[in-house]
Amino acid sequence: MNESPQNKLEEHCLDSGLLASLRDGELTAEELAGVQAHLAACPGCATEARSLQHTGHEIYALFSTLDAAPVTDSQTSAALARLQTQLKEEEHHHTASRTPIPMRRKGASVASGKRTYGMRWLIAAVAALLLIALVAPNAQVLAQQFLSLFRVQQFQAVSINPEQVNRNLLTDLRDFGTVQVTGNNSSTYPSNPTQAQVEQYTHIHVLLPTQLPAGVGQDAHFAIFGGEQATFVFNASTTRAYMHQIGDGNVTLPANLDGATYHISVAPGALITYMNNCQSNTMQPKTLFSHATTCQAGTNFAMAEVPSPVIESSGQASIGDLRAFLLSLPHLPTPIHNLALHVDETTGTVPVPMPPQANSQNVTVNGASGILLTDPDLHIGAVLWQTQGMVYMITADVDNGTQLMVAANSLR
Amino acid sequence: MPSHVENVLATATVGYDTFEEIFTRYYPLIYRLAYRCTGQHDEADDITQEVFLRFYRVPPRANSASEQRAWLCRVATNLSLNALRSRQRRSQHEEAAGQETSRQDSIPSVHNDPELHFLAEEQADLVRSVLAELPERQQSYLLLRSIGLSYTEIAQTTGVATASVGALLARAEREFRRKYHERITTKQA
Repeated sequence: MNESPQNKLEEHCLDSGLLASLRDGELTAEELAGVQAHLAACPGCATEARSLQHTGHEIYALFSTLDAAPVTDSQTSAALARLQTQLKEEEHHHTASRTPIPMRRKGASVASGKRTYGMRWLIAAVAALLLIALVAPNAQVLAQQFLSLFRVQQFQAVSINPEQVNRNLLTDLRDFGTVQVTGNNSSTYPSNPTQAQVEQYTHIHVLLPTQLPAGVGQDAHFAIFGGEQATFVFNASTTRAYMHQIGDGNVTLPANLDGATYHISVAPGALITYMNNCQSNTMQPKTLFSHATTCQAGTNFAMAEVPSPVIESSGQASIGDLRAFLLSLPHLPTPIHNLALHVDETTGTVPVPMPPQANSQNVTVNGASGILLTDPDLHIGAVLWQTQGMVYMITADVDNGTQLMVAANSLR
Repeated sequence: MPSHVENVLATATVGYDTFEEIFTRYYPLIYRLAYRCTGQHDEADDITQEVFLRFYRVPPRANSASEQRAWLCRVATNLSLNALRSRQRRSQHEEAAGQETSRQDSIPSVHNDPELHFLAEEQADLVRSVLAELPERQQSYLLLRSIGLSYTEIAQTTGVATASVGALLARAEREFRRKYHERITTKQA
């Protein structure tokens, strides 16, 4: 029997994705023929198709009412001129003082607008802290920390004393409020998924390296990171108690910080390992790297491909207020202080904590900027980069980064 | 003597296009996307400037015009939806305080009729408010589709598989429609 896609479409009822694709002209000629043949014979699907068509018309007509008057050429030219002026001012100020330039043009709404954009990267920093605590509760393995940083434009390595890193960052956060972490129900995921299953469950397109470091097995083992959510709520009384404890009781705590809330939702992603002569185990995200480092039969090589998380904030105070307060504490634990300090709001740079003995280097992976980290003590290297809404991380038992970079650049 | 910035602006190329060409080509699209979320000219213009500043500072790797457009739309979507959430929070605070909620700058075509203008503003507020209630990913799918992105471009922008876009859009549309009609019914009751 001929099982062509067209025949399949004719036989089975059509899902909403196909019907939406039909409505939006996104079907191939073969799919279109199959869908049309099915609709001619199936009143239920035909009704559903009409309903979807009606919904689309209604919704996108509503959205079109949100438009302003069309943008004119002169408006575009004026905007370009403003941008050029701003870049020149920025260059001038940057050269003169290396002080970040407010990313706004002059006007009545400067203050509130500046706050809005600064927030994004401060939120990312808080997210990084939360996720470090989330993914690497023991903070023992350098690579685990990399998995916890998402939604950034660039990475900046920041040297942090391992003893301070080992002081659990989750504990640090709980000095300022409450932290609640919940994982998605992963019981619905297959235990040893294929690449196709990973893509089906996560809705991401998995990329795999075509070149691997020497000694790495050729078989890819897949696992699904089920996604997790974390919420941090700033609490003034908890923070006051902590300030007294560390000797910063005299610092003013802005009243509007109380209740500032950050919610981070991490969507499902893919975890891929390549090993030699090791059994294929069901690997959960928190054990991925510890598992990999106990497999002695070959060079371990692990990858994570995770969509940028959804990060939301709410409450009375801006993130800028929170950051200013944190940096005003003379006795704030160094890891948090350094991470907050090294966030660069103007370039979207988020710091990556690393032990002092690790080497860091800014690199380019397929045109996207990232960082390459190698740790001669742990004999581990990692490359981390962000592109197209995804964060990619590769780690392997290698002392130098050349092979890692070859693998990273070979992702297809 | 031209400054560094002038030199870069004059000569920097992304693919075969200069920065100026890219700005001129995509400014209307990005502005429109931002305005749909904010309803405020100044805010939409600021978001658009911010998108291109980021593009200038860290040019993305783009193998095609479509990828370039997807990058710009992704950054614009993130900033615009953040602004939409802030706007909703502001509105809620203002409503709670009994203040007048800030309105959209201008609604074309009904601009000269005060009553129609008010109704159009109210309608736009409702659409933005319902949009803000959806999960962020669903907001993105609807917003991007509404400004005319293809499924491939939506996939590039949001990081999902192209084959999944239809189903994700259909789900988002159903959810939007359900919430929208709930709100209409509540208002009428």
